[in-house]
Amino acid sequence: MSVGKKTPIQPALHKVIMVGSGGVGKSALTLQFMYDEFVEDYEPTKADSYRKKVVLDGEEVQIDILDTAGQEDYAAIRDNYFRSGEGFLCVFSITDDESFQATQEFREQILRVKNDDHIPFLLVGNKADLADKRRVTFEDAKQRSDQWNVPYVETSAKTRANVDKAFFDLARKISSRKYRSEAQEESSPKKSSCCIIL
Amino acid sequence: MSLAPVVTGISPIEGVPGTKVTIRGENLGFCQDDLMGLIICGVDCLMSAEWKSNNKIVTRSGGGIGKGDIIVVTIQGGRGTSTVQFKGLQEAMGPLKESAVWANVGSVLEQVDTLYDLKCVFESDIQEYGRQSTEVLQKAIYKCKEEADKLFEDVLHRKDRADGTRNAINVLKRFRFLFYLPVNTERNIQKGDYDVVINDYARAKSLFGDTQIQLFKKFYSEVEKKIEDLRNILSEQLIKMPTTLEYQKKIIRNLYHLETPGDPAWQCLGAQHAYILHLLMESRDSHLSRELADHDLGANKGSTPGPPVSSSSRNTTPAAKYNKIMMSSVGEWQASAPVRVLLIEDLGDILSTNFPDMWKLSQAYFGGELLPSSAHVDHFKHPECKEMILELLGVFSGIIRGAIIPQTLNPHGAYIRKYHVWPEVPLDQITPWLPQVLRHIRSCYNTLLMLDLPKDAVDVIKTLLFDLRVHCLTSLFQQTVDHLCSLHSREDWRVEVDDEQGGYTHLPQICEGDIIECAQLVKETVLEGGRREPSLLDHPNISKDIGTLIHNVIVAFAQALRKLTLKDPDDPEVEDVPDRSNQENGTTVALPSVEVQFLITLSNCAYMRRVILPRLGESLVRAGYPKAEVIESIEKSSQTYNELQETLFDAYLEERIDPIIGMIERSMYLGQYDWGKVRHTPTEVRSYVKEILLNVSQVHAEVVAVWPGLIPSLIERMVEVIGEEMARLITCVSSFSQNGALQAHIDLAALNLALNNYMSPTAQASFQEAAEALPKLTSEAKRSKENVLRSFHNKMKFLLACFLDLNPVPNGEQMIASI
Ligand SMILES: Nc1nc2c(ncn2[C@@H]2O[C@H](COP(=O)(O)OP(=O)(O)O)[C@@H](O)[C@H]2O)c(=O)[nH]1
Ligand SMILES: [Mg+2]
Repeated sequence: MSVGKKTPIQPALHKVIMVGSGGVGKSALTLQFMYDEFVEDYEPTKADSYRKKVVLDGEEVQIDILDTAGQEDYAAIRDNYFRSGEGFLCVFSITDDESFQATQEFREQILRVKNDDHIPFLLVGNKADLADKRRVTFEDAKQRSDQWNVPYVETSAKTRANVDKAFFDLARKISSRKYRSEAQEESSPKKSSCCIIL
Repeated sequence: MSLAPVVTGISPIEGVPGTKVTIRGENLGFCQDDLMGLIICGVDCLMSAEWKSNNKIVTRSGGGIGKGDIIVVTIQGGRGTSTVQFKGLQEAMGPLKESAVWANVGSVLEQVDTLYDLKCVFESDIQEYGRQSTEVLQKAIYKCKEEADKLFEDVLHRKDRADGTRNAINVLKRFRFLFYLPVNTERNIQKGDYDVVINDYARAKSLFGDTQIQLFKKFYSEVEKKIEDLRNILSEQLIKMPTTLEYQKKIIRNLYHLETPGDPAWQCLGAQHAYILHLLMESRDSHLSRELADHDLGANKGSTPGPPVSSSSRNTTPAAKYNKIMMSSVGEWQASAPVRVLLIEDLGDILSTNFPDMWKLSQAYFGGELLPSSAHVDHFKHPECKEMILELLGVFSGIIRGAIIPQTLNPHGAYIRKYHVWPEVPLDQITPWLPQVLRHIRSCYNTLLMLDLPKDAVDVIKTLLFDLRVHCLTSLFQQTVDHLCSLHSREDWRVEVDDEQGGYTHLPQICEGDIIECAQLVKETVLEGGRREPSLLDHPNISKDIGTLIHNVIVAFAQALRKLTLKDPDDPEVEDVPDRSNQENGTTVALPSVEVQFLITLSNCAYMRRVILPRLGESLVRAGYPKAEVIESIEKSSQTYNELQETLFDAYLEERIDPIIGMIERSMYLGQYDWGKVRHTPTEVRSYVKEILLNVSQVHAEVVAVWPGLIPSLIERMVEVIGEEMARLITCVSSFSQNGALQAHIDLAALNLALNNYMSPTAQASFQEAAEALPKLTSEAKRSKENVLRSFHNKMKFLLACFLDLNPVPNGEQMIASI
């Protein structure tokens, strides 16, 4: 119903949802990505919303970020939020094995809610700057991401390492998936299978 | 570029009126006063807006309901836009949102409304169609309404209770973290999970740090108390040693995270410094008291002068002792090593294990690694830290110097009294261990080198090492000198004659072996050095010293040889020399006569000069000793041996010739012989001549057995002296009878004949002088002289043969004729 109202030149909107246990740095990553700032103090999030225009591979797009609460107190309302997401950054802290274990649950919840095995999804190991406190090896994380068939990236919201990469990679996945589904709608299944192979 | 504000972030995305909202975006103004308006969901919230930065405003949401934009208005940019939206929730609905009860109540209310509507329709119908039909209905409706009201009341009541409970649960849920925190903190502290405690504390602090609520305050202050306990525990652990660097760093970080006042890292450095210092001094003291106890014990036991250890150890070189040490088991090692060697081993361990951590900690400290990112490194502490490091290394080096090389401590410095506390011990007790000591210090040095220490810190150990090396060098040589000086005790007088060049005993080779062994050990352990150590040879002074040391060690043996023969009445040691060599084989071996000992030693001297010294020179140069110095010291020592050889030669000669000379006169005038009263024509050479020749031949035989090459010069000298004596005796004769003159001619001729081969011009002149003092012979007398000589030649063939170069002259005629 609102399609008519929207200006056609409005750039494509990709909806990203930050998931992961509390304290792993979802908000920090978001704020770093959005405003180049690092927040030292920890303030539990309920649900925050951000939207930013960026140029992705030469094309202007909007990235909409929903930063959610990791605390289980709010687990019940997560289903609602997840439903609106087009891509997920599933964050854990490499200094906290429990947060890594929790990613399994988040993954399952997302797959259940979205009912889509190929939903754009990145496994993100944050706080990579705290190398001396590392509790989750790169190999273990990589193994899990391979098993899920998703990329794994290690970030630091503090140093901004790989922060853009995480968001851009996800946005790219969302974008290419949208094109693909459009293409699928238009073209024959034969062609689309060709695409998939490519 | 547009300055229009744009809101791109909202936290949280929804809330009841009055919710604290953080708004982020761009162009949000440059100060509080730049804010002209702030509208959330259509409601102005400027009143509570708190401008934080150009990107951030914090406010409380107003009463706007439903989803809506967040619009910021600034002086610079005017009315802005928003890419995100806030959803205002209805206050009353807030707590009920998730409530199934509310849904029921809603439907009941709707039903009541519907019924009411229905009633109104009915009433209008009644007015149109009459009351009867509706009366029953109205009753029913009232009843319904009553029931509904009751139901509604019930539900409302239940809802209130549910609300109350839910609110309580919500509060508990949100704050149970805080309520449990004191207990959890306590438990985690006990478990040592300090990270968790710190994390929770940070969280609590940011949530409740400035709470006004009494209950929270109470819990929070309890947490604070626990945290204070933790600070104290950590501060204690921080300075408790020993520990690991990682642990220290962790504690320091924890303390910083807990916002502990003071400078924990610096405190830790100080504690570590004190700890290492304590370890070093404690090790020194415990070893020292052990040594002093041993020392007292030894002093009481060994009341006899000259401890037995010393004299038996005299028979082994330091190098041999060193080799024995190197081959001993750890247990033997521990038992036999001098206390101060064990001390050094211990000190080295202490430094190598503890110092690197302290240094690394200081590096981390000044690198800012340990400080919270907000704090600044206090670079004024740099000198103080360096002071600590230098002090540690200084004490380390001081203790070692005091124990091993006290002579290198500045006698006027403050350190001398602090470190020069060890009793004097004989050099030979420590020397064999010095290479090992060097090895320990060197390994320490290598550990330090890896740390990238400042140069003056490294230099403390570097100079220590250098001084130790020089000491080791001189000690090993000095000990070998001592050893070689006492080598005379091992002389067994067994001569090996390899050629005409002369014979030698085993002593020169022992000497050579010992010197080479020492040189080799010094070369391997001292001269070569290790990583980043200058070669001692490159040091001009040391190079010269090495020349002197080599010289000393070589001439030390000459000293031994001298002691062997030229007895010094002041030296008591020499007395027991013959005994020692006697006992060598268990059975008593007859010692050669003193004269033969002279000869043998003399020959050893020559052998040293001829064979050993050149070979030694080559070996030393091959081993890497500086050529010029080696050659010089070899030449100088060769002279020493030459002098000794000459002295011995003279001594031998004297020893042998004195009795001969004394004998000549006695024997000549035996039985009141008078040259002036000889009646009979002489028919034989007189027996004093035969005695002379016999004596000479004895010497000849003696020398041949040791060093045939010595004979010409030796016998020549003897003949000279004999000639001199003959001339003296003959010229002193007051008168000769005719037969007396003939007899004297015969005697002189016989001596000439026998000793012809060894006749020097001097000797010839003497004999000439004697012959000229005699009256001339008649030709008849000459004939009888020749007869006598012929028969002398025949009789004495074998004796004479030895004077004629071991070749018995086949034809005596010619020789006799020539005389
Ligand atoms: N050192 C470091 N700290 C981080 C990083 N990301 C987040 N943090 C800190 O971790 C705490 C929790 O971060 P936050 O973003 O609120 O976590 P969230 O609950 O996942 O949103 C905060 O104190 C952050 O400062 C990071 O990459 N490195
Ligand atoms: Mg958060």
